[in-house]
Amino acid sequence: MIFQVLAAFLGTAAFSAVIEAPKKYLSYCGFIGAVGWLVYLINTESFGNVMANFLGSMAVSLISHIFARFFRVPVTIFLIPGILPLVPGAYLYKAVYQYFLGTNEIASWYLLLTIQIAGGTALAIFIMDSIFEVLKKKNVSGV
Amino acid sequence: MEQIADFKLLLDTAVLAGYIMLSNGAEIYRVEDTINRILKVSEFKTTETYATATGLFVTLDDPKCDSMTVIKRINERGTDLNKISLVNTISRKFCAGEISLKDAFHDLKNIKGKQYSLWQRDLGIICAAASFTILLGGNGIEAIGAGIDGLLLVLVLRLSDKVCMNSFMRTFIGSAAIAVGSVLLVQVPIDGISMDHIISGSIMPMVPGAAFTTAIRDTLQGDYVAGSAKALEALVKAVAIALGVGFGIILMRGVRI
Repeated sequence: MIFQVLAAFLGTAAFSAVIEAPKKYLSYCGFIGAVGWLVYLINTESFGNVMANFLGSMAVSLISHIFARFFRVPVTIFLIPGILPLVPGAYLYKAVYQYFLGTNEIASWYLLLTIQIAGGTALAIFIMDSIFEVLKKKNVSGV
Repeated sequence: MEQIADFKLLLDTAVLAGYIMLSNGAEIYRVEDTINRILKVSEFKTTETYATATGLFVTLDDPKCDSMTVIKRINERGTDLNKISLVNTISRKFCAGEISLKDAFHDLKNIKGKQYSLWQRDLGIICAAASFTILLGGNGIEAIGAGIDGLLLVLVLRLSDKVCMNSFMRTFIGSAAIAVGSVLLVQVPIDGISMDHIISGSIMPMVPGAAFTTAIRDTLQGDYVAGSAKALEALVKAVAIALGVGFGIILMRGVRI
């Protein structure tokens, strides 16, 4: 598991460089990706894939918002790299691959899983954005 | 700030800030907010901004002078988080009165190109491919395989930059190259390599995570035009990856055991 979390850190940080995240925040981006993946791993067994992904995305959005407030930079800078490990790219590939093999049932199942996970991630980002928006409106003088 | 020329410069500064943010993947809400904050410095009665993913309309109007409107078309879009962050810093400083209008405009004009050199980007892609393979359940050897795939992807990207390919074809050919590379790698007789792991890890650097995230956030803010445009962008990219991988696998069918 530690190995996986380390890989998440490295992968997220490396990808952050590809999308030109500011140099000084590279390690923070990696950190967010690693935490998101850790939360995902912890919850996979008890809650299943989709729910674990949702919880992981919640963690990623929460930390991104906190970091953004703290460093006074747009949330996007942490959110886009951090969410990447949780984007269901692998399932999408598997769905297509199964279609090519001709096993349509498995393919549809993977496709459904992709949509569910993407929806869960979207919901998590929605929720966190809304919470922080409410908080921001409460103390307009701040931020 | 009294003269018309100053207001024009202010308008230009706001538009430039918005242009940089939009063409580098910022959310609509943030773009409009930044432009409005800059325009509010003029203390004009009306300041309007309307931004979509492909264009920008900004108006300044006041009883004491004619209204000024600027339309800006955004042709090229990419993701560059650093530029978004720099514009944010400049506009914050300008609105707090820490820097003058001329300085703000000058700073915006001088936002440099890329922070990372091309080979650093390439290294990032290779590292990301290898790391994500591990995340998706691969072992060390598969990660190395994905790294090799990443190298292939980098070569394709460099080549497509040279011939100015559009992003759909770039993604398509990139994923096809990954699939071909993976099929070849699996031919190497080492125990415990699965093509699944290698391919799903290697395509991760191309997965439209940024478009997906921005699409969600734009939609939440009520910017449905931009939100659906971004969602479509993410979908098209996903389809390009899927088709590319499928094409690559079919191409290599003869080689597979």
